[in-house]
Amino acid sequence: MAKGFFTDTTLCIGCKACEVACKQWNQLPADSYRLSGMSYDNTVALGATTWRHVAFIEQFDGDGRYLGTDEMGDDWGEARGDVGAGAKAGASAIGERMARGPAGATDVVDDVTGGFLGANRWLMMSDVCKHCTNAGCLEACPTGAIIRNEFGDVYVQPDICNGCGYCVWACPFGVISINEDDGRAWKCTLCYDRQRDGLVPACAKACPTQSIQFGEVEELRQRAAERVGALHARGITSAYLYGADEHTSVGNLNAFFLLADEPQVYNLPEKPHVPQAQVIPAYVATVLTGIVLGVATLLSLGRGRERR
Amino acid sequence: MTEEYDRPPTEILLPALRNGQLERVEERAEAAPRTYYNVPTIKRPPWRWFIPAYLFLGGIASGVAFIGALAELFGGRRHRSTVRDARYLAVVLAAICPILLLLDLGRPRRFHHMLRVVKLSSPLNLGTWILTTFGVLSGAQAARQAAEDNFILKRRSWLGRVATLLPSGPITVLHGLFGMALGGYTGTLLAATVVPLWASAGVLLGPLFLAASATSGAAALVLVGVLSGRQRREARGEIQVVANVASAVQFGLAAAHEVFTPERVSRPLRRGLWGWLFRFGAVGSGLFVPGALRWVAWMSGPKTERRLSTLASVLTLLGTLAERIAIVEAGKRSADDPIAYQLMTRAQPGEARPTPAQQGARAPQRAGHAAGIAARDTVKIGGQSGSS
Repeated sequence: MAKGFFTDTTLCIGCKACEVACKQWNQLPADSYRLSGMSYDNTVALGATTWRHVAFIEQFDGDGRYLGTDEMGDDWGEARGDVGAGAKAGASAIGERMARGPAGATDVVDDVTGGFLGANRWLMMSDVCKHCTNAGCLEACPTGAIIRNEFGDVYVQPDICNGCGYCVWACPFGVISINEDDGRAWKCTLCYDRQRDGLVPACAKACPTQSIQFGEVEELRQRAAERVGALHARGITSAYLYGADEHTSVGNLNAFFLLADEPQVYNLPEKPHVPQAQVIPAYVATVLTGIVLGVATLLSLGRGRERR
Repeated sequence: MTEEYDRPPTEILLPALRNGQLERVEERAEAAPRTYYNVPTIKRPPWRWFIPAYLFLGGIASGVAFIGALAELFGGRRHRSTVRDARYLAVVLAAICPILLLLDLGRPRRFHHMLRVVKLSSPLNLGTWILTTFGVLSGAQAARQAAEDNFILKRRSWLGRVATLLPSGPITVLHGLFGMALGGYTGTLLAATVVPLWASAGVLLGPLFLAASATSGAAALVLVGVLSGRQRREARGEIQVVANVASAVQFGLAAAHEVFTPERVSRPLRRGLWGWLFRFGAVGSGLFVPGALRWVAWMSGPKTERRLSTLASVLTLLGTLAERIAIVEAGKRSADDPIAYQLMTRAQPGEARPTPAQQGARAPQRAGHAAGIAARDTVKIGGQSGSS
């Protein structure tokens, strides 16, 4: 069975040990010393030399109000009626008490905090290649450099890749990219070499909070479902699994996630599509147009023969 | 990014036809955008200028080949110069195109790795095969023509004899078919990506590119015909009709693309530099003006006819080039816009994943998770043999 990652974002503390371990084991060069200026996340995104990326989502504002889904009023927030809604109620309660003056503000702190995943929260997620069941990059690769290996993971063979780059914009998650220095496409190998030697991938090994778990995908999925149940039982009802048992054209993800907010907050698509679903309809439409144009050309050129 | 888009010189002149339902989704997303610090969700295509150049020249080769093939099979004697021009043009363009593609590779020396597999799911792989076959067929056609003309290739040389002995009919048919395939696959190649501008209403891109190929091929044949002075006016008139029909198809498809694409997604193709280039360069001066010129040319005397035909052809070719550049560059822009990608990947009703509440209810309510998490480092790994 396929091997993969279960990344439980509710356990992530944003230490970036996975990023460092990945860079070290895979001998990936440093990207730069630039500061992104947007958050503690200076890695910003996955890339050719960054195969793990820790996202930092800061849901705070100066007044301690939660900046969440409840303000959107869409189906997600309504379906949950949970953390966001509670926080909003808390925030408005704070506002009322503030308006009443210092006497009313004594118990504000209890309302605001509401636990780590409560009102003012700081979400972190260690992002990685999802090793999709129907991988856009693998389908797109014109050289056959991208394969599914014996561990069920998507692997780029560096000795075959000729750097055409077509996989880069066939990836629904923006994972794979071209290394400008050597002209080839690179992404997470799920530590193919370590797996061959029976070792746990570097990032999972380094993770100090067990946010990144490695193993048989089936077993991980079971474990993840239990974790969702436990979180819901503890009142964190926004927790859900992304990329497990879903009906999307990319299929199940061999690296799936437990998230606590909408996917787009983590820069993940709500419902990823494998781009090759377009291929056959597009070919058919093109052939039909070809027939129309061919007949039109024939009619206009063929008149010559009759009048000859 | 948004400031650039918010300069809409074209917005007042050509207000976009709106699709009501998509607009509502769009407004909802734009009212409360939730993105990760506006970081693009997908990677932008890093294509250099080689690719729009290839799309342009490959498109001309495609149109020239299939118009040439049809002229050879059904056009009769009056199209002999059309056939000759088509054969020579096709081989020249078929020689340039692979070089352009090769230069855009990260590892150009490994270009032949494209030919180690046949993979129908990858339009790029299929396109490589199409281009290769097209090149061989163009070579055969041009060799026959050269031998017939006693030009470069001596008719009595062994190569010239081989060229004239090859079966003419089947090669012509195949050349035309592969020419069409060459014009159409590029649109599918763009559509089968995650770039919002190309992927939404992506079904229309292949037909659009094919129609653009036919238009530019016809224009190239007219231009070469006028310049060489061998083309008969009746033959030219017939090719002009092809150009006009293909232009009309092209306009219809471009309009349909605009109607069926959400405004946010196609914004880079509606506003700003590329929007301007597309509307006025590709559609205005590339489709409408040359169409009118061809019509006037048809009515006028021989000298004016040649001049107007030349002008119309040049404008059509420039318009096609503008169209290729605008679509590629606007696609890059749309890839940078996380909201556009969110619109494209928004779950439709009934498609959404189980809500957190449903997932929580479904999950077994036992405390086994703690043991499961602690078991991480004791997970048995498949070992050398692996298991799949």
